[in-house]
Amino acid sequence: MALGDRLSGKKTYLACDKGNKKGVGHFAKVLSDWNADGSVNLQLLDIDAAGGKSYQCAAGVQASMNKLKLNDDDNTHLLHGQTTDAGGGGVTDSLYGEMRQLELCLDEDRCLITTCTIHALQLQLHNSVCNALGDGGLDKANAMQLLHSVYDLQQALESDEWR
Amino acid sequence: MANYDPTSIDVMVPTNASETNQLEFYQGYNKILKFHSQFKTNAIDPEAVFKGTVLQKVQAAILTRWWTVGAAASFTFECYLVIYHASQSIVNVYAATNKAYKIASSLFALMSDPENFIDLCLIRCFHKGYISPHLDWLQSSTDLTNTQAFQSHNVAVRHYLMEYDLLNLLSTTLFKSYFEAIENAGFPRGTTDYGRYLKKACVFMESSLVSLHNHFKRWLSPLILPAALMSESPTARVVASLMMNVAAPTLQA
Repeated sequence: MALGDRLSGKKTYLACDKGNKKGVGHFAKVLSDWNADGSVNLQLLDIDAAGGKSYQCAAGVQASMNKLKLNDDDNTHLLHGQTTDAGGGGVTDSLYGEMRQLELCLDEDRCLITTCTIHALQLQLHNSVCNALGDGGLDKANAMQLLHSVYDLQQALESDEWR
Repeated sequence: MANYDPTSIDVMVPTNASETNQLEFYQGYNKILKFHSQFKTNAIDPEAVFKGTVLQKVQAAILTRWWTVGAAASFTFECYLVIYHASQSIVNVYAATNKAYKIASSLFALMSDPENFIDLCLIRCFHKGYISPHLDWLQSSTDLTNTQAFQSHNVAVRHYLMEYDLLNLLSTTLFKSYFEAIENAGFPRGTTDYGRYLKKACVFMESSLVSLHNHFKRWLSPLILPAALMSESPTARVVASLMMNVAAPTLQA
């Protein structure tokens, strides 16, 4: 309730990411807003589970955002932007489209949609390795499989024995 | 390993199967030793801190967090000789049905192939010269917001710096290590094989460049670029001139 009051009418941004640890789906949602003193407020909304499709993720965001409102249909907590990783369901424009249909965010001329730069940077290494060198696999004999094998060998032994 | 003399095999005269196997290993080890000049061969104090030494465990290559692949490649490169030796030791000690034996046996073959080593060098150089410094900045900058991340106003400039690095990475001092690996493998500059590895490195860089443009172009869109108005003054003035459709300021101005 206190968080709902504080964020009511504020320009709030959402960062979200879908996880799947040990077969249990998690959809982490973090809200941020700008303080008048020039700092950023960060608040973990929840990590409640959601499906992998964009409309399922949007429904998950809706359920979480409704916790902040007095009435579910209130437009007191409209999202002004979102950040997700890239690829798969529940990301970028696809997620925005579904959230917009549920009236969770501003129109597309005012809603800022970006992707996670840390994820994007690492995708560069992923794409380069897969395109130029090939990915790993038990039936492969390449640099990636070499790296996996070094780790596997280490794991096959006790720490003291490895050292 | 620290005191190993590569010429010792010259005087070895094997008299039984065990000594023949030992000689074969030393011959293979000498071949690996020539792969590169930057392998760690210094003696380790087992009582000292493991971090930064060959006694540290290798980072698992997690395919949802690709910096780990770069970190694993860097560690494996530095400890290549030790891991190669360890593989042979495990093959000697364990039964052929043991899991460790099977992994060590295939790893031994993978490490003996110079092509795998050269590719490993490519990943390592890319990680050290590109991924690591930019990842470090993205995870540590608190400019303006006093909060890590939340650097929207700086991403346009960072995009330019990343593109500049990608276009020039192959000619940096760091990448001499990659070209040394190619030449040490017996492919001198000017040969067909050298050209093949050079082309592979170019494909590697091009793929990264395409990915950079695909994923960062959003930050240069009309909706997001104005965030750079809160960046440093010269950048803000360029973006402002773009928005107002007037001539960009010159360096002198």
